[in-house]
Amino acid sequence: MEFVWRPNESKDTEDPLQIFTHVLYNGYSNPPGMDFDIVAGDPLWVNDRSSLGFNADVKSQQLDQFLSEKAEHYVTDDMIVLFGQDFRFMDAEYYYQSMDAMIEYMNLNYANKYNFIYSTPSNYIDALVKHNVTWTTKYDDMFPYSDVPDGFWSGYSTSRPNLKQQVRSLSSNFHASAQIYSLSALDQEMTKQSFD
Amino acid sequence: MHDEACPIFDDMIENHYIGHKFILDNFGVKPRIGWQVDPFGHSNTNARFFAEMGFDAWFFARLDM
Repeated sequence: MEFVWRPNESKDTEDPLQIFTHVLYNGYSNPPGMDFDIVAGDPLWVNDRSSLGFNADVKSQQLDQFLSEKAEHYVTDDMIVLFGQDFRFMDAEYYYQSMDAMIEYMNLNYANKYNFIYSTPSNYIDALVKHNVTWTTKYDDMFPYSDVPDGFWSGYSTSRPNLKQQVRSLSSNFHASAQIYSLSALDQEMTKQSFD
Repeated sequence: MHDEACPIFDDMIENHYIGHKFILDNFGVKPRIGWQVDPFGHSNTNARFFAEMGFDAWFFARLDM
């Protein structure tokens, strides 16, 4: 689920216009059962064996299973794992306590399989580059979108034509004014005061 | 993160201009990764847009079932 996208069929040029594309595995959500936020219902990750809430053994198995399935869909052995969802990190410290515990437990008990670190999309991309993979290429678009069987998001491109026309028209006026403004700014005799 | 089906190119540029200027002014950073995780479908235009803006990569989430 990672490829290089070359839009506009620019495939044969020497320096084609292209961008690396990553499709996330399970939306922009945490792994199932790992929604540690204060607004969510999932239990926190607890490493303390003496606690009644101890669940790191079960949770780590769940996570391992999810990541193993996910790994089949990606080429390299670097993996990006998202945490959060809409309206999450309401109380970030609370969330991070579980993630800290998870990272500690996984790196201790699954060290032969995983190395968990906090990261960012840029770090992930930098890591991918080091693998020196030749990616597959895509040329066309991803429309119309279908999120359920027989359900297509084609209507939202075509509905409310009057409103869309209004936006086009406003946009056109706006950008024309911006250009006129810029051209007049190039006139050396104009001062800042005359703009204001 | 703009929609990719309805907006025209000029407005996408304007949107990113404002966002990137804010990030540059306040954090001194130029983003190089696109994060289009919730638009419903993805356009060739947008792939070209990110490529021409000099982005290294973009992520998205919504792909056909």
